Amino acid sequence: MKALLHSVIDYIKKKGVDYGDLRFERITGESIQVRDGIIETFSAGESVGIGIRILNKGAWGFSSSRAASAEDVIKTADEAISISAAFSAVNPKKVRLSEREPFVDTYMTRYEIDPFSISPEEKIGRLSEITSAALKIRKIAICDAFMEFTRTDKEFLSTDGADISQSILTSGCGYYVIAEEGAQAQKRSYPDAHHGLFATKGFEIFDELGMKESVEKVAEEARMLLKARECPGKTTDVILDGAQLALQIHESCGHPAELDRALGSEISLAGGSFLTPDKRGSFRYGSKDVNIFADPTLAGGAGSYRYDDEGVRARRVDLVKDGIFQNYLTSRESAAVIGEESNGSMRADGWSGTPLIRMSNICLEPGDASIEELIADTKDGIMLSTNRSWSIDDLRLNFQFGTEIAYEIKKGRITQVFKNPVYFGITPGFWGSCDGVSDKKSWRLWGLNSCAKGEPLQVASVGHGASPARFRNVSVGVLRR
Amino acid sequence: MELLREKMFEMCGNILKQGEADSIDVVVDHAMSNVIRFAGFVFHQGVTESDCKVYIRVIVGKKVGVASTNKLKAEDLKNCLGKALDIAGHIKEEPFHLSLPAGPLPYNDMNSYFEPTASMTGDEKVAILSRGFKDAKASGVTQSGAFTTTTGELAVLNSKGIRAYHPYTASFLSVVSTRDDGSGLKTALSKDVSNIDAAGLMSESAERCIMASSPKALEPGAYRVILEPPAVAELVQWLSYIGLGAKSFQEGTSFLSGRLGESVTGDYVTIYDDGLNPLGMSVPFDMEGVPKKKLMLIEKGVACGVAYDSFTAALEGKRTTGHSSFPEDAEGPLPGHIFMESGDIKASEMIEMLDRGILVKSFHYVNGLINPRDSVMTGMTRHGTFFVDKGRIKHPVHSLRFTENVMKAFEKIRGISGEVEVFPNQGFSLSSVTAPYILIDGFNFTS
Repeated sequence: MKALLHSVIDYIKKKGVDYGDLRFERITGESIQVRDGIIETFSAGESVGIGIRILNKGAWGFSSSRAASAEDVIKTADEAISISAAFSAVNPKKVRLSEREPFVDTYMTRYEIDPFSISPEEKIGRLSEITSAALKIRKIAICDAFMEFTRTDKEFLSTDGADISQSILTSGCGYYVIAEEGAQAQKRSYPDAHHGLFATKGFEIFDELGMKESVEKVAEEARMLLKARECPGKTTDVILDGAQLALQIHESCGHPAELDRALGSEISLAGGSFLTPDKRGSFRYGSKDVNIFADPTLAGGAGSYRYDDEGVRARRVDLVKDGIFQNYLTSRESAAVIGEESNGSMRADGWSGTPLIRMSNICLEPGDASIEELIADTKDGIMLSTNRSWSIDDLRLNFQFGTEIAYEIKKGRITQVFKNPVYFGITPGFWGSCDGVSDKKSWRLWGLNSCAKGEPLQVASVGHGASPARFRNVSVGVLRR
Repeated sequence: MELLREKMFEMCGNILKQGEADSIDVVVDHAMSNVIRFAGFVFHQGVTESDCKVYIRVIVGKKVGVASTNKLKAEDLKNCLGKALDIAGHIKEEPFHLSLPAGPLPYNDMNSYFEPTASMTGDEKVAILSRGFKDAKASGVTQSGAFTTTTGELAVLNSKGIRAYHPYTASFLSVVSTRDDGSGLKTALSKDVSNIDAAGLMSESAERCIMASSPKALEPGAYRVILEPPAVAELVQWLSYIGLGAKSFQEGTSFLSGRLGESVTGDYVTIYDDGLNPLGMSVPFDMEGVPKKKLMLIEKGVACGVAYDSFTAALEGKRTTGHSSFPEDAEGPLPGHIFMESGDIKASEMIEMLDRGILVKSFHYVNGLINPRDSVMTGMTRHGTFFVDKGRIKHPVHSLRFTENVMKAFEKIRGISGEVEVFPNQGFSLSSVTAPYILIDGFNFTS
């Protein structure tokens, strides 16, 4: 196959285009879902294909196919060239790429246990243990447990000599329980909602997360929510737990820091960004306690890789330092627009998609206080845990998030739980009210496998490092008028 | 894209012959799409994707295994079948026999394949859009959007005699015009791209933008509203996701759980799924080869049904309603061809009926997971929000956030238009949501 890929690069070069690259990917995956001990899904899939990207007379073209034959691959290259030719004939502006070294390298993410070596019986058994344990608890009517594994083996070659092989294994698992009483149904998820927690790890993730050990507490909280009051509407101090903070970072910092959004490429779909280029280096995004960085080189993150899908070597970059907006996530094209080099943030959802600027692992630096100290220091507030709903405007300013549970804090102690909580605010004001981030001990790299972007829609795995943090004077409650 | 009907049948036939299982079903999804994206009059992404995915599901006794591949050589398909059998051979039994439909079954004779869509090239789209840009520039707006065409064919065969095949095309044009702090959106969806008047659509998008420019602030609160079809479609899609499929219904999180036969909203409201209605992106069968038919979900405010596939139906000892998705999908069955029934009021007369309130062109980033049991949703208005007084549009207003119990809000519907518009729904090209304009006497804007 490698010989064929090199011959395609030679073919593209002969066409006299400005630049071309290809990704040949083999994606194997497994998805298992057990509901109340019944197997809802056990599926295994493989997908193989090639995506070819051409920059021709300053315009892009991209085409992908199953790469069933050499002829098929050449046809795919010709289609990408044809699109770029059509664009270059009418586009008023020419794309310029920032420089990058054409690396030749091989990389694979680390893992201890290959999930594809574990038998179906064991996987089902592990999930069934959880659903059985949950269903033994009174009022727990439903338990859905799941695990998912994806291995992506990809070859990246470009007309300027890059030749990179990467193998990225992503594993994820989680479960939720639903407690029911009368017409009420309340859900609690573990370790995170929206299909659990994902990481570039192996089957060891299942034990590391303590899935089975967590069931009793998670089920108990779902039961408590049946009796709980609705979260009151008021302005109060709020502590977000790590999982909810991960989503807050994702929506209110990660997406607005994507330079393609800030430059208007996504304006017709997801929107733009309040973080416009003139704000770099001076705009107060948050309080001095807020330090947010992107780092695809972190071991085990759901957004970890060594090279992005433009062959740019991944590196850490500060997005917000001491509360001031510093940098964007960039591609070779967008970085050139602001006179910089790419920081390696371009990824595609498999061989069939064109690379887009995507979050890698976007993390909030831990602070000094322990979570216990943060709670003890809160006279009157609410701690919110585990995302349930999310909504934010097209500039990433006006947000409203809901969580599965809220814990009332009075005089430094948790006193009761509330159900159906939401909180809302405006991004810079919210982050500006952050006056405490808990320490490394409670910092975890959370991971989502469901970040959607682009048209056709692409879905990426992204990591978010976070420990619980406190925000002053936040609006909470539901159906406020 | 060359259609492969005979090859697909031969390929599936070989798989069905080989398997040592009680039943096997094979779904083949062969599609090619071309998307041209533009932003600020610059074409920045042109993407042609081509793939052919084969899903194999085997049932051995009470065990089920699913595998998929896009490698179509005989040996690869044999391996895929082997993987499905391996899974089925090593997992525990379901508590019931999963029964797949037996064929042959009769399917509605509909045409979903239109040559103008299948043959449209990226160059043609660029030419059409470029012509529209000239008028847009003259009107002082900037335009961004996407023009997509898809050609595909779907085959579902099983070892019990199901032989379903349907070739299709789909086209979707979406144009957003922007100027200062205003924006306007117009979209069109059709199997036949000839039905899309790109120039008219681009012009209307520009007009909407100009109308929405220079918005003023408006205090949040409860207002009478007109929701235009894009906004209604988004609410109805979320209703479908959180409550009109069997999975959420069985989990008890649906707003219809335990409420079938009860009044759940106002009697103006009728919502149904109809895969055969040519107003939507119709398709003759689901991914199990079950013929599509109309399914009432809410009729005159009364909850009457949810969508089932074979698996979720078996859990309740019911029959599938023909809403199976691809075999790997874990979301469960969902209505893929939703209609909110139209009324008899002219859309153009609704602003006068509104008298005083807010006109909402579309919503952005709606989320219905706040409290799905009570159908509480939140979202922002986008691409034009207008204050209406004395039956006339007074001025545009800044985008507002709503947070609302949608079933309760629908109780306050006072008028539904005769006109409807169609929008894409879910990931598959042949699915849609069709929605009218509605007038609601009280809708909560919270910030």
